Amino acid sequence: MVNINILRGISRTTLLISLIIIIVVAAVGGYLLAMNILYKPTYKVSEVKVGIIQPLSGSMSTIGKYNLWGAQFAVEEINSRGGIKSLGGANITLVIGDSAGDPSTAAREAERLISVENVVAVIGAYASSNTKTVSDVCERLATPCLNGDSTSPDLTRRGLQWFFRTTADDDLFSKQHAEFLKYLNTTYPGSIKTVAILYEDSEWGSATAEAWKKYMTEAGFKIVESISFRSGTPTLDSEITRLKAANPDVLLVAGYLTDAILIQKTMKKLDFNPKAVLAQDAGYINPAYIEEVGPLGYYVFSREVFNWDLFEKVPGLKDVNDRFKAKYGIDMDGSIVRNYVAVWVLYYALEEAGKKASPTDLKTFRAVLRDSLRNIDIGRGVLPVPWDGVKFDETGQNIRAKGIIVQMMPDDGKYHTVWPPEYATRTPLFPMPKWSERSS
Amino acid sequence: MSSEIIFAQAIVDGLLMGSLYALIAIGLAMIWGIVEIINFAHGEFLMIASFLSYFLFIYLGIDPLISIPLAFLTTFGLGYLVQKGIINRILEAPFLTQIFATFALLLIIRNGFFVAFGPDIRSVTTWYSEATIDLYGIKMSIVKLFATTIVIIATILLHLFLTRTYLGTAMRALSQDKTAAQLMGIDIKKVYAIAFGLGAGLAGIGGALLTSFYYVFPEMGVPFTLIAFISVVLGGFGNILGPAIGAVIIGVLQSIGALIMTPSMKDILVYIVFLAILLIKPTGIFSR
Amino acid sequence: MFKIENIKRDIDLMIILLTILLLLIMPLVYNNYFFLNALFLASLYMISSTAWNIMGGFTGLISFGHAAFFGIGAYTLALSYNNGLSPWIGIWLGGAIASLFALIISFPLLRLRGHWFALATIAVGEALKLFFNNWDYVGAARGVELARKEYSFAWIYFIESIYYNYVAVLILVISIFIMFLIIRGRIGYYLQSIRESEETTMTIGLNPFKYKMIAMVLSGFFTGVAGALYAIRYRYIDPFSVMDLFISVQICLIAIVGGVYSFAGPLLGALIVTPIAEYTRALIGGAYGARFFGLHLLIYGVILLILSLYAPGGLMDVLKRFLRGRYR
Repeated sequence: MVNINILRGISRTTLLISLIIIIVVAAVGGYLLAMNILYKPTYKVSEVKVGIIQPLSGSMSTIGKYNLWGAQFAVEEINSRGGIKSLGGANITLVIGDSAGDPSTAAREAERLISVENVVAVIGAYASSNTKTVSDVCERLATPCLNGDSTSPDLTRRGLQWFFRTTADDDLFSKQHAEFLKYLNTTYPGSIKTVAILYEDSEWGSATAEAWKKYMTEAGFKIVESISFRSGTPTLDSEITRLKAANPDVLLVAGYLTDAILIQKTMKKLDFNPKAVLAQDAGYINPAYIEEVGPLGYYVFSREVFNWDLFEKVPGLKDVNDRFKAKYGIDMDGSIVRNYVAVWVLYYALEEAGKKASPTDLKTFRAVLRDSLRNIDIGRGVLPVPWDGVKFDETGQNIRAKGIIVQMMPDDGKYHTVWPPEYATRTPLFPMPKWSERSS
Repeated sequence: MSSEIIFAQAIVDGLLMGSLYALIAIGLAMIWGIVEIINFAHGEFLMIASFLSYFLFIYLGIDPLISIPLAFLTTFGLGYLVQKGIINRILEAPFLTQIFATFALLLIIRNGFFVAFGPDIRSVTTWYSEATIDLYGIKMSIVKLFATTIVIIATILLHLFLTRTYLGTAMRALSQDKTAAQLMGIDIKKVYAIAFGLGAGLAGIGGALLTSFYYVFPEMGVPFTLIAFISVVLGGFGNILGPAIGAVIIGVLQSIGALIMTPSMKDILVYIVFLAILLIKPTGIFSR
Repeated sequence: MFKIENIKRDIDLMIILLTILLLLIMPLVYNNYFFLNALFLASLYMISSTAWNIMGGFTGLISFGHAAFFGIGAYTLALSYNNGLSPWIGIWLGGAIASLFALIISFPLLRLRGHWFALATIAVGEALKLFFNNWDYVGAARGVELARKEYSFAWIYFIESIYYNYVAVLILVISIFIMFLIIRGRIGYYLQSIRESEETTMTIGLNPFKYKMIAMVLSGFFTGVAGALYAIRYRYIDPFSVMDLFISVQICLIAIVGGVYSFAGPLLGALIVTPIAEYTRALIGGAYGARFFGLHLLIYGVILLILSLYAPGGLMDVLKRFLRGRYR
């Protein structure tokens, strides 16, 4: 044995423990480093990276999947048409982040996309609470954030400089709901006096209910009942019973997919017959809902930003939908088309930005892209949506966005546009027949 | 509608929903009382059965109510295997590790279904899905009446099993005194496996029943698991009637809570009653 | 026997020191925002899981309701921040309010034992979440967003993520050392003797109720601190993101993976579980998530199951058993 002087006085115990600890630390450190080496972002010059954050796991992932399809489809179309021409035909690459529907995870994904994947802009993130944290990160890290699918009015009231929203918000939609009810009253005078509100109690539902209360009261309708429920609840019997007792002329509903199906089932079961049901999209326009609900969903009105029958009114829409359906097997819906449109809006901004800067200088390019979004001016008929186009105000809200009202018709089980009149393909069926008078 | 009818309607709805909760709660109580493990993956067995009866309906046209025995057998088998393959190996581990294993199981089953079938929502429409019976103005869903009947039958059968068979007696013995039961020559691991299987199987029956009026998706078990936990605490697990009554109370509380207060607050009422009972009688109201 | 106890103590302390060293050095070695986030989350869970361990591991009070403390800490910080209070005070205020809540609920809850206590904590956590979800003063379901202040150390608002990591390390060091001193001190030994046998504890003239209450208050305090850190980092909170059962489960899961009967167990657990969770989500959830929803969670579950089967006493237990085998 070699006698090492330094080690004299230190027991073997201590020596061994230190050794083990060094090994453990080396292992943990090595493991963390290895994780990072495995995890390498790839950046090619011939591509422009755009981040998209959607809830791809957890309970909101049904809708997240469709939203992602919409964006991916738009990217494919843009790339197949020669990419971003001002950047020498560079392709757009979507980098996907999974928010799992959780605000902090969405924020972490935004930071990853911006600083690790070096995306030029971030699109997302469906749930308004997730969009809040994502836009906050984008603001901090000076990256444009384009939102196509969150409708909470709060989002554009926070003084953000890097946030843009293409869709209309719940405030505007609720206002349009009141206008639509007044429109129904002109055709059937005096038939609607009272409304009741049924809403899910998360941020989106509560905000919608608040806006409804405001605009319905302003429009002279009396709110006879307002009930909130937990999304995903297995039974709504008591809630519908209460609504039935209040006996409103119109039922206003804000609920997600599972809730929407349950509400329709329970309404039939308890024989609740308002003259009309007016929904705030979400669950009611989900392709899965339309597939599952069947005759139960007939006569229901919903707010929409898009509808398949608009191709008669909006140029180019039928083609887009046909191509989409050929690839994914379903018709586009409001969520899908809004993400599709968001990517196209970003594309137009990228074309402009590409004239002034190159994505190799990311910091400058992001700033230029922000300015391009600020100055963007897309007219009517360019995008396959019934809007007047895209133009952002100083809060980042698209002032040309609009909503439409659709109704599920009993003859083909599809939603048809019934309002505003310039886009309508059918006249609204009102009042809806009682459950007992329906054939199926 | 008069307020009496509304109130009666709420109570009937609560009773019907509560009886379904009861089935799931009894299953949880069996596992908890006999194997002494809190099964976090309980709702997952319900979900598996629900998917099974959904696919049987879609591809073979078998009515969800007819597929109940099959759903029971499948989840029973799965539960048996889980106990045999996983839980039996950690019987001596701290109570925490066991919980942790069932939580891992929850993640695996739930997300396995996410990967295999996607997050989509599926539902089945049968001729009786929305049919109702009208009784003095109170509407009762036929399918929930069916469900209640089946729950009552299943509970009676289970009771007979526990009191009239050797295996059932062994289970009760195990839950009362493990050491003594072992000394009497009971194969503890085998009995545990059967008990876990039965518990999972009961959740499976619940899942198959749900298929006919609820929707089928990987996370469907969540609210039911939570309610089952509360029911068991309410009713205790001394006998099978305890958790069943606990579950029915919760069903009625939820239903009436939604009537008299903001419905999204109705679950708070459930928790408050739950906490109150827990504090008055810490081992459940019906335990001895 | 005495010698083994000594080694145990040494290992815990050494792991604490090395973890802190790692948290201090790694951000400088690898300044990647994603990695920094994983480390931040790890430090957050180190605080809350160690706090959980005071109750769950040392006192034997298993709680599935720590999200309540976490959420109260987060809400306290968010509301005080928006009312102009310095977050440096707000973080500790968050802990204080959370511990006050712990004190209040300890009176009824501590009458319960074992499983019943665990389930009652679930009920408390869920009820509080629903209550916040309907309470307008705290923004109800719409949550609270932290007001935008100037980027500064005083407001803990930075452009560069790395500074958040060092704020977290600072809070971590303070919290861990206070908890370490308490657990290694008189109170710690009383708590462990309560876990082993309440009756014995009473015969030596101690009041178990009082010490269990101390454990809950301490645990609540530091979990609240961790919640406040969460709020200052992500700047938006709502009941479903900070008070969900999933947070409670995550907190105790990390403690269990690391090992509940050792002080340093939760540190080790957080160091291993959090990066795995984050990296699997980004690698699999991001790239293939579009096709395989939930695959990363499936893998996470498999890892947890393997750990529970082959390292049921947690990683610290494996380490200690290894050492004990060597030195008997």
